[in-house]
Amino acid sequence: MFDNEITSHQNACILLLISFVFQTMLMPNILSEVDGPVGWISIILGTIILVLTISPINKVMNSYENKTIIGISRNLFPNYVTKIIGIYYIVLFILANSLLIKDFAEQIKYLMLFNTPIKVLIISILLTASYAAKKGIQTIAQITHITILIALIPYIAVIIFSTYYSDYTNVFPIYPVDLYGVVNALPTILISFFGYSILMFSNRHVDKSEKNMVLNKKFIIISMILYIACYILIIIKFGIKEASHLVWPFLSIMKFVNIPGFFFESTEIVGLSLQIIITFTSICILMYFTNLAIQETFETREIGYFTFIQIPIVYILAGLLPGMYMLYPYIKIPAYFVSAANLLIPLIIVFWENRRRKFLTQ
Amino acid sequence: MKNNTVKTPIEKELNKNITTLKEIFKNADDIIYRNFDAGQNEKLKMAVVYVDGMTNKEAVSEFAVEKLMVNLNVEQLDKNPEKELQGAVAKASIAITEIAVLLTIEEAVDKVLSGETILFIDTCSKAIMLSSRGWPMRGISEPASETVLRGARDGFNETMKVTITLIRRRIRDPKLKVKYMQIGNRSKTDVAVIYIDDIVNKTALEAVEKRLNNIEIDAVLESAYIEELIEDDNYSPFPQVENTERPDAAASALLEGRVVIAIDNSPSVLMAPATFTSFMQSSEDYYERWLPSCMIRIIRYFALPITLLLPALYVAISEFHPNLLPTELALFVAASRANVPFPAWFEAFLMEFTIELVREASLRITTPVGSTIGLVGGLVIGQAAVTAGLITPVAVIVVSLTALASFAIPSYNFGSSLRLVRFLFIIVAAVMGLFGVSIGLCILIIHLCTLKSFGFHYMSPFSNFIEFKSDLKDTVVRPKIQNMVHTPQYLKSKREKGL
Repeated sequence: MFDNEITSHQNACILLLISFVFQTMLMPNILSEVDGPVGWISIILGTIILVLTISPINKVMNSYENKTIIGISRNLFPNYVTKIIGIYYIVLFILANSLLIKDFAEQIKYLMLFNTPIKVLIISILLTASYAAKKGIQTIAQITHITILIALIPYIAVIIFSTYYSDYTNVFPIYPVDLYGVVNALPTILISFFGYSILMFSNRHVDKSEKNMVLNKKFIIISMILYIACYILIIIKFGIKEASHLVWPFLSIMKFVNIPGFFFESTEIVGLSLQIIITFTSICILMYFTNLAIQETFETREIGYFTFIQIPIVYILAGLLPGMYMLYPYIKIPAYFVSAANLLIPLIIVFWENRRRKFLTQ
Repeated sequence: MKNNTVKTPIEKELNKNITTLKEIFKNADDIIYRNFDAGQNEKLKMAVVYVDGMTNKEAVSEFAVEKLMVNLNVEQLDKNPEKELQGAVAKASIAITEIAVLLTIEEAVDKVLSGETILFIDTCSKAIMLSSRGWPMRGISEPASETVLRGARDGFNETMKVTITLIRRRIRDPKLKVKYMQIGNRSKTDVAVIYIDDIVNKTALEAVEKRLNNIEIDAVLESAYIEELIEDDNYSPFPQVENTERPDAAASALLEGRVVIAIDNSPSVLMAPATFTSFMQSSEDYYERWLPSCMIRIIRYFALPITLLLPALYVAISEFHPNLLPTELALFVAASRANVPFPAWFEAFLMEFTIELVREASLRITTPVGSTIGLVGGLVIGQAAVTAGLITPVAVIVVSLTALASFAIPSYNFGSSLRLVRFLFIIVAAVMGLFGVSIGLCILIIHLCTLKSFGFHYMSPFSNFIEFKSDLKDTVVRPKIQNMVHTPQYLKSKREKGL
């Protein structure tokens, strides 16, 4: 295995972890969007759409070995189109990272460090993440694996202990289904599977690319199971009415964790400590793939040093942007655009590639 | 070591050779030159040269000098000295098993300094090396730093040949290979690279040999020199090469497909590549029944975060997040801290510093007194500091628990690294509370994930636990012997099953 190669399982773990983080961040949006406890229908619909697109995308990606979506589009489209696609992904990753960092920093300020300026938190997160992003994909993949072992699994295990005194009837009534809400929540759900955007880049690093198709599908399905489980957990704990007003549902649920014999009083801080590691790893992942998108778009040799360009940009954006809870009312239209672009860009590439092949065979 | 200087050939005239050697060994009074006339009737001038104290003198006089003086029949020897003389002499009259022919003075000097005896023969432009190494050495005893309740009690000593012998006694396999080399421009220390040919990972072996060959140093006085010179990242606090004084541990490493490096004058051998999990394993884990061993391993893995994070968590919780604790405990901590003039971080630093001081002091004092000093020092200082109101009883408990946990880490140098990192964690906890600890943990994970040992990921198999799931069996728990995969998957060896 070369230094810029990872295994297909490591790739799947990267995609799973980053999706989990975005799903937790965007959960309030789904809770408030769908009237009634049927947001899981949107999640299943979103999963079906993504799984259906995975096969054609992977077929094209496998035919272009070691190329990201930008590299493939360079072969198919004029240079300016490639540049537009590249810039779209760069902006998407930077914006997503800024929002994630801001949301994360606000949680820390709210629960842990009341007197520390939020900018100090942002810069400390960024500087630490840049250390990992500069080290390359193998380090990122390994960190992800270890984060899953030491943080994600304990985090989910701890959350399970919040089900004491839950009202399981909160998952009903399923009928009548709020179809409008279900469809409306779809764009946010598609975005919250953020690993889907990342796989357009990460698949290139996989040493045995033939395994990508199966594992990409596996990642989406496992991600869906986690997403639905978390959604139902919040619903049974709070009920849809109360849940739709929660700013950070996962932190709220942590308050109800009741592990027999566990003596810590404020369990949400314990949860947040685990969440710091999980979110931090996602920030590292995003920073690395932003670097990769910049490298691919502008066809440079160097990749690590783009981290230093990212730090001030993400810092300023995270400082300027309001917290995610303030953005929820305004992200509807951007969500439509981003989810459409995330789906359509790879599909257009697939369509163009198939057309080109047909043309060549004729 | 590569030496490009021009070599001086051995002269036919005995006196010339002896004069040259005397010039080289000027003012070295421990070099013995013994001239004698060999042969029964017709005499042939000869001389032996050796270092006093490094040579088995009895063997040389009984099996070489005496035989040559009494038994050699010079008339029967071929008179053409250029062709046959040294061979005939060796064949007819020397009863030492290991001999070699030397062509240059430099070779002779090297061999003399290694403890061999060199026989120079007049009219012959070749010398004979008589293997006669023999010096006072420490007996084979149990390594003080790696004692076990059950298991072999023998340990390596400072003689490399003993090291190799002890390993060979455990692996009687013709595939066990030993490659010698010398490192150190002045010390010319003997180093042996030991591996099992059909198990060893070739990449690791090549990397070890390449790095050893590239060493440019005047002297190697301990295996630690080599360790530092061949590891991947010198700036990391974590060791990337494992060391042991136990032959069974070295044999086990060889059977896993790793490379063992034995160094003369050092009782420790080096084992490469090394991973995080290998530093958490002890030989004894495999000598006890598997279930108790599993429990011990789990306790050890619990001890790891305690030794690393407990003082930092104490600082973070008492300074930033007292709301984490149950109310009664939070009130108790607050009440006990009310009369203490220092902040929690200073308290933790003070106690950790004292513990390190006691540890260092007990190492320097002779063994029976050392442990008493450590115990008394810890108890008296701790009690006195609490009574004086300098620290809280909680801090004493925290630091004592941390010290205890650190002793549960089997590898001393890995434990030292954790101690160093613990201080860094106290600093970040003092600055940013639990957030600082989490960020510190993230940096530590990143660092460990970037580390490699001879090209192999330091955090294997945890860093790729799906791919290397079979390796997980022998990490936090110890599998049954029959279920054990002897060669870890991460080493990508040809052989899969061991015992």
